[in-house]
Amino acid sequence: MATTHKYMPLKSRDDKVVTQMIISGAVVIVGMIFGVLMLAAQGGLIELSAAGFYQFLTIHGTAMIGSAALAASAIMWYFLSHYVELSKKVFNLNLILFLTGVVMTIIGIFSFEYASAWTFLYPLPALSAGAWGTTGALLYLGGMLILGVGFLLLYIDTGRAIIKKYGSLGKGLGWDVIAGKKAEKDAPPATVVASTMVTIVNISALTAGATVLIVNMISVINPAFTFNPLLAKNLTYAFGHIFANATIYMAVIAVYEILARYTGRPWKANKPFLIAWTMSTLFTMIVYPHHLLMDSAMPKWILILGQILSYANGLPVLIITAYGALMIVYKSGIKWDMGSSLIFLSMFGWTAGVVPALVDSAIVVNHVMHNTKWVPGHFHMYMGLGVIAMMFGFMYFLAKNDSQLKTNGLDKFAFVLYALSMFGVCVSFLVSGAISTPRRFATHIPEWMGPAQVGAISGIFVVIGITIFVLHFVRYIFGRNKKSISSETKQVKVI
Amino acid sequence: MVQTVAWVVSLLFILVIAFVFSFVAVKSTQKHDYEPIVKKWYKIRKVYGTFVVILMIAAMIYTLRELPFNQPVYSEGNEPVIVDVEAFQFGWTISEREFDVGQSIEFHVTTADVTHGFGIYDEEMNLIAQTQAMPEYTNVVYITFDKPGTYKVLCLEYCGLAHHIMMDQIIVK
Amino acid sequence: MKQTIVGIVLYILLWVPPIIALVESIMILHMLVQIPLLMVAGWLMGKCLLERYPSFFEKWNGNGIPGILIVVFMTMYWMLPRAMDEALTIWYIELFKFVGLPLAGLALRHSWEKLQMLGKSFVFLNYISMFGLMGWLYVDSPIQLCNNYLELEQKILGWGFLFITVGMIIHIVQLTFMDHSEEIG
Repeated sequence: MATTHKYMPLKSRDDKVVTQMIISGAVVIVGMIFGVLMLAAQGGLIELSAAGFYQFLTIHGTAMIGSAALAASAIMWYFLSHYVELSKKVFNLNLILFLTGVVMTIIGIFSFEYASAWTFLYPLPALSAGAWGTTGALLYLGGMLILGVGFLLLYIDTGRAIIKKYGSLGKGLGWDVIAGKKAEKDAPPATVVASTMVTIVNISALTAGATVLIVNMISVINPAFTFNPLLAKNLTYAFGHIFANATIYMAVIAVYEILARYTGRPWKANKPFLIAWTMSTLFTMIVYPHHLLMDSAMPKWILILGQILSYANGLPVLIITAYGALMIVYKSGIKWDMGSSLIFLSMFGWTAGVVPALVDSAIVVNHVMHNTKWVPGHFHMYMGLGVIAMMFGFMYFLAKNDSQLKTNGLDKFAFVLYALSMFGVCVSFLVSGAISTPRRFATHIPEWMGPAQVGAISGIFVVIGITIFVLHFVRYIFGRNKKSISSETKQVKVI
Repeated sequence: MVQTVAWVVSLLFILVIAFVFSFVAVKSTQKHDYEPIVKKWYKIRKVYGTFVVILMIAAMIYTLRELPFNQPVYSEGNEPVIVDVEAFQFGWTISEREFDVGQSIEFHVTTADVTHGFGIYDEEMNLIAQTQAMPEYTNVVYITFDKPGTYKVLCLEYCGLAHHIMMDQIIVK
Repeated sequence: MKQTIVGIVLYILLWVPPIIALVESIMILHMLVQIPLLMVAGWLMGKCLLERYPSFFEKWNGNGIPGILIVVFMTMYWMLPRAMDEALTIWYIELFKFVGLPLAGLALRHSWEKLQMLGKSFVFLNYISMFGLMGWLYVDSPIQLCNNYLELEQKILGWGFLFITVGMIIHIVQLTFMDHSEEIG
């Protein structure tokens, strides 16, 4: 492709990023296996004690959010490091803290039977009705806190680097271009805009998260200290929603960078693009009240705003990002391979995943669908077909960019298998939600079992597909290590 | 029923999105210059964007007309029955469990310990109303049953290991 | 030298019995005036110590992390309702306050110069969530947390904390959204 010279050459070898991706990939597989086991138990296919089920629930949520965030931040770091100077030390420190945190949560969950779900809704960690004790709760909450500290340090560093290069976070979002002070052609690259957005929202989320984690820890140590539970709930969802949501805003950087290279068409950060990202920054931070629509004790205007903002939050992706991805691919003569196919699929997953969320954010709908399996239906599409596809798309891209390793028929088979079966999982959840199946139930009545069984079986195929993806990446790592390491700093042009 | 509408609408939109993505994927193998495509698609985007915004505003106005947390206007002599509900790990204290069809009822829901969810299911196990049971707060469900039968109360917020068996029932005659 | 003298004068003033009696009788003055001022006194007095014994500080606090940990733990301790209560009734806790906090101020001064941007931001963000949390605890607590202070005073202190938190958030927002090309290292 003749036009590729416009793109800056990418570092071919980034061991830190590769390590972080393979760890995330492994954690995703483990997390998915727990997911399948839960669906199988709900479908009556296997026997699982209630304690076991809710421990699996807790580890599944923690592992999935954790690995999605870890992989997505590696994607963001990899591309952002081509534009600004990031600290390798901080990147490595984040991984160490992540692993430490994960080990603590695992010990808390499986050795001390802690099972509050990853949302640790105050005051559940302290009041378990005898299911778990102080040690388990402190290990889990402490692990989450350490995990959060790692990510916080990472985003402080990205913020620092962006401010150093571009002057301020406002300029990182291209506000001077929006205001007309600077020409569109001098706008910050899409990667920088997205990274700035994530830096802002995630520093806010993690600060809120730290506060509410400490609240829970205090109440676990001494239940005499009480806090306002509604405020705690607000902070919990502010943290949880933003942090989970931000994974896709980091991972989408892979879409910008990779699709533009594959098609030889530039992904320009023009005014509508910048406005869309500023809107996303703002909305992502304040949209979380849609998790509290069933709390009529909340001020009514906040809840109505929760619905309105949820709708508004769908606009940037529907009109700018997804549309941009379609436009760049349309009649581009793109040569499809594993990387580009997964990336393209991810945009479908994201866009389609927005739909059930928008439907459920209407208060009248939420009244009969909140906390049914409709909600996991939405975020399994959004995360499972969105973030996960971006993540593995990036991994295939890295492998292709950095080695001679060819993909084969098995990889293609895995792609089809993953795409169809993950879609099956999502649809099974949505159907469950439509027939009022509550989420987070260890067992189902017979009427609810059918979709859960379909979900469990689809889930097995998802695990097989993802395992093939990971194996390809493992083959790449081993093949790469055999070759000379002297090319460590070599920079190659892509494709 | 709301759930059916939600499901059909979602499925429809997801299929439309899937169709658009497939269409673009099929067309992707042709190779054309980008400039004219950009020009044409930006024009289409204006129309499409306006359409999406209008659709959303319409949906918003339509769905925000009546909210489940608004107290209905009761006619004179038709004062509602106020039912106190307290959730606990793992069960329900409900001050009154038998009602008549057509009777206005307010469930005032709170909890003795952790957060629970108060969900009312009809005989076919369809969720017909819910609210969160929050410590220190009282949330209200306004409801008038129009069919007799045995309704189930389920917990709709994860509250501990017996969350899924925290069931109770109310009878409407 | 001037700074050191100002610091010593401030420190002596804080020791004057009627002043102690006054600031410690009102909860918010105790927590948000006396305690920070003791640290400020230590910060100011520390100047000449830091200049006279640079190698000592370099050896123990080369990267600033041990120093900032002392500061964090010291301030966390003094934010507990119980610590304030005991300072009023137990003489050695009161003494600890008057000796420990200036030392923390000294440690802060040395560490703040040593800490890099990353460490500084992290500490700052930490205090946003800590002050917010303390504000929440004091405003929201349905019971009297201290024997010596009434519930109303507790609430006032809580709002004081929240006020500081909001100030800090505004500060960091304006800092990160104002132009800083080439300023930050």
